[in-house]
Amino acid sequence: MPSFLSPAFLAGLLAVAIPILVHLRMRERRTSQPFPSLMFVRRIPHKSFRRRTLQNLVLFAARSLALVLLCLAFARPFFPVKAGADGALAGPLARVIALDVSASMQYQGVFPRAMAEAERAIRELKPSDSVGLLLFSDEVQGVVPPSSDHDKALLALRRAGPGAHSTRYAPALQLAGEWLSASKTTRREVVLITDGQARALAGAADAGLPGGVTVAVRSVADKTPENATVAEVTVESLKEAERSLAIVTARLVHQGPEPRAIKVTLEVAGRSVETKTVALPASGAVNVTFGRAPLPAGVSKGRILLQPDALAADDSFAFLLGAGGELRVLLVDSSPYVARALEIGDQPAFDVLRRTSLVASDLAGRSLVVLGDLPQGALGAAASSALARFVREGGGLLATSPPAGLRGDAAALLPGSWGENVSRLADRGASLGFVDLDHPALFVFKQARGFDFSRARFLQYRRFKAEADLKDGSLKVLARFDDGREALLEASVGSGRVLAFASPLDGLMSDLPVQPLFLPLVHELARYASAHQDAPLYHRVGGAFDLGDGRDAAPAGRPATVISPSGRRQTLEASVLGLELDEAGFYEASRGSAPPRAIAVNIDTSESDLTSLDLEELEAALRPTGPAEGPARSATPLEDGARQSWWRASLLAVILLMALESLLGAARGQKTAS
Amino acid sequence: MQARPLLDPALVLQVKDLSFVARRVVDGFVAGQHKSRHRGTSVDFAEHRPYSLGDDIRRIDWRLFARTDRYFVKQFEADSNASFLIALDISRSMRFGSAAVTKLDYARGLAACLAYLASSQKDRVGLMMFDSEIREFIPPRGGRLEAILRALDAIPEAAGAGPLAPPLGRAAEASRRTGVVVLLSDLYEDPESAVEAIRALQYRGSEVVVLHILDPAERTFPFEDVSTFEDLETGELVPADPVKIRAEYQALVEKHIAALREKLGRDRVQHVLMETSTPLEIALRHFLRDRGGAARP
Repeated sequence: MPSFLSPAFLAGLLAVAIPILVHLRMRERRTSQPFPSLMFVRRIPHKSFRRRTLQNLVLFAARSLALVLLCLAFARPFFPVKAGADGALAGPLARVIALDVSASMQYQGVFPRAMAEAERAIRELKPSDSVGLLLFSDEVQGVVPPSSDHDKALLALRRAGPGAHSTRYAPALQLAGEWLSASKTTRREVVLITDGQARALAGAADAGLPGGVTVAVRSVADKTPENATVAEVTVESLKEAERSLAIVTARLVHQGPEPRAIKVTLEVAGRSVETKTVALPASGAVNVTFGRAPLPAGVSKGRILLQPDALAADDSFAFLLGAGGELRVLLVDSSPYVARALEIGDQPAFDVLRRTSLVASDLAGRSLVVLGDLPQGALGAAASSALARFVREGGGLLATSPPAGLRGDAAALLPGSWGENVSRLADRGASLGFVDLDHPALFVFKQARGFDFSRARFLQYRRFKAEADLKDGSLKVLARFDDGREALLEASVGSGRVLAFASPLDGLMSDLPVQPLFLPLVHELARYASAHQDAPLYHRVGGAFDLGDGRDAAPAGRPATVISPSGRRQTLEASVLGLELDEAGFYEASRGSAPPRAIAVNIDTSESDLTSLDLEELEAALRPTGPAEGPARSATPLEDGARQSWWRASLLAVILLMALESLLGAARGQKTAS
Repeated sequence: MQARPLLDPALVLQVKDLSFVARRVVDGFVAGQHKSRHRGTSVDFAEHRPYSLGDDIRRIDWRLFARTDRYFVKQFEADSNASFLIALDISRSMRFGSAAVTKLDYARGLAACLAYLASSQKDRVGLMMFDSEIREFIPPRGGRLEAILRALDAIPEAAGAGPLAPPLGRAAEASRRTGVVVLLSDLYEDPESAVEAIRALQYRGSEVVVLHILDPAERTFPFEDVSTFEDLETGELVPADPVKIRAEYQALVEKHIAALREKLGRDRVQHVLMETSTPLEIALRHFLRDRGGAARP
């Protein structure tokens, strides 16, 4: 905003109002006057009227403008300059170009626009200005730090391309801020070239951009984006006559103003299984479920393929079938109920090895031991030691009968001892008086309806006598009988867990096995005791894959070989357990001689949401809030004089305008006289 | 006898019931003439019919009685001879009114009066409303007064602007009987082409009367402010300074009227100029006086 040395002269501007008022008084009425026919009016020469009106307007404008400029000239305008804000005063500019290379930039036509914008942002700089280039998504790559070598930045720019990561502005602003903090120039700027996704703003306000740095956003977003994507895939596995089948459901999300029909294909192991035509609603989501697909043995690669659209990166969704992760169980129990319960279900699927007695070698590769009622002395010393070691090293033990017969090391798995039997035949069996539904093993029953723990009857159970000096948390009671005695116990031993019932689940001493809650109860307890976690069907770009999750048959300590979806091969040292997932598609990871494992990776769903923020809103959100930093200098007297010399230009303009006014006035006078 | 005051068109035309307006104006007008409304009834003989009780004995044909020795009365068919067609211009220019009454309102009232007058004379009355084309046509027949008044009550919106020739030509083709044609229009057209169009109405020797309806402002151009004038017919906008062009405008209008009168008179077409400020009775009187002074149209 200009300031004035003699602002009192601005009062003269009021004089401009006089001809305006006269004009308003005398001007032609804006509302037209209806008249039946203008056939006679048209015959009267009146063209001079319009021309005269135009001449009058020009004359009026010239006189008014001359008056305004005269007042301004006397008021002596000048433009105050903030240090560091004016280019002419503050010297060269340091500009960091932050180019968005997230997956959404692959939208048709967006990245070429972004490249053109970036190139323009480099070429428009003066040779004395410095420029830096960084590429960002949810991570940032500093390509060229600020320097006056513009060609270097241009060269680096030409090698840039969009990736598969999601967008976040914060890392880019952070690096740009670091670069600009080191810059000695007074004018510092970040040019953010992006498609302006709203979700990318997270954390941007705390990016630490130094004060005085301006952020200019150049949006290259498509105005009316239209995109369909697979947001999520769920797989239901089932077995039918020894055949493994899968029912795949995909959730499709559509962004666009109009409904659209699209072809969706399910591909399993590289073979197209089924194609459906799906009607996508306008800006909405829809689920599509495919028919039963037969699965090959082992893990299969699956894909949902959408009819290609403007954003091809999210038109293919990779996932794994049959990789849910079996829970390998060693069942040493003569009761049919638990065995039957473990045969049912696929979340997780149970791989059950059934034995009548526990042998140490059977523990290899198992995650859980389910132990039924063992006769006295059924467990040998070696087996007992192996079982104790198994639990301490992270295995699970689920005792479906009070493990009173355990001897040796295994006897110490529960911090206490089992006492005499309690018979509740007289009062028709005990019921459960307390169940800890907040416990992770039972939490699933807290919100589920139809499972009534109090209906189960227990005719007989054993008393448990806990050790006197127990550490906190070493023994938990998950359920108690109605007389307050322990019904279900949990003990943490080393890295493993032990769960034990005080009454045998054999159908004789309790009717719990015939209650509706038995099946889910056994599944949940098995899952909890073994600390089993379902293997994800797919991962997202930007995430990490745990190479050391113990599922590799090959021993750890060997380097891992990873082949990315684009075919890039890399060897990871044995100590590296995490694999960063940078590409969408299927990774192949292998360690030693073990067969390679497939890892399905997809771009983040946020990249499919192409809703862009308003440019001003985005700039306001990214504007640094800190105090101005960096060098500043005051203007020299010469510069002050230059900034205050506007009055000369004003006076010159007044003279020119008055000359024009004279010419127009003379022309009009001649016409009027004629 | 006290003179009956004349009716201000602005007041009388506020009454929506055209039948009432016509009756009020025509009855008052006829009474003011001191002549029987039946005086002009035709004496053309039609037929005889046997005398019945209550018949005027003056109508008994005594000669026939002498020949037949039976009473017969004469029947006249004054109501079946004259055909009276009112051609009403309803174009957009007729919707103009500098005061409370537009030219169309005035012409409509006038048409209603004429229709009532003619109907009371037992003439066949018809109505044609037109702008660039014929919008409503009721052929002249007896007993059509109600239909005509209804049509005048519901004048359609004007569709377009155009010369008089096409609608008047089609009206001439549609009319089969010789009679009187009364054209009510503001005649915003070149006199030559207007007269050419009106000439078509003189089919088979029909008598044509032109009631040239104008608003006073159309003759005087009384505007003061520099304005943009909008042609109601074409929508054209023309900026003008009324003060500067008034005299020239008035001269052109008067020249136009004079040219129309002269050219129509040459064709023996009666031209009656009527301003909307003129009371309807006076307008009717002028019209009838110019046509021979009879109460019959």
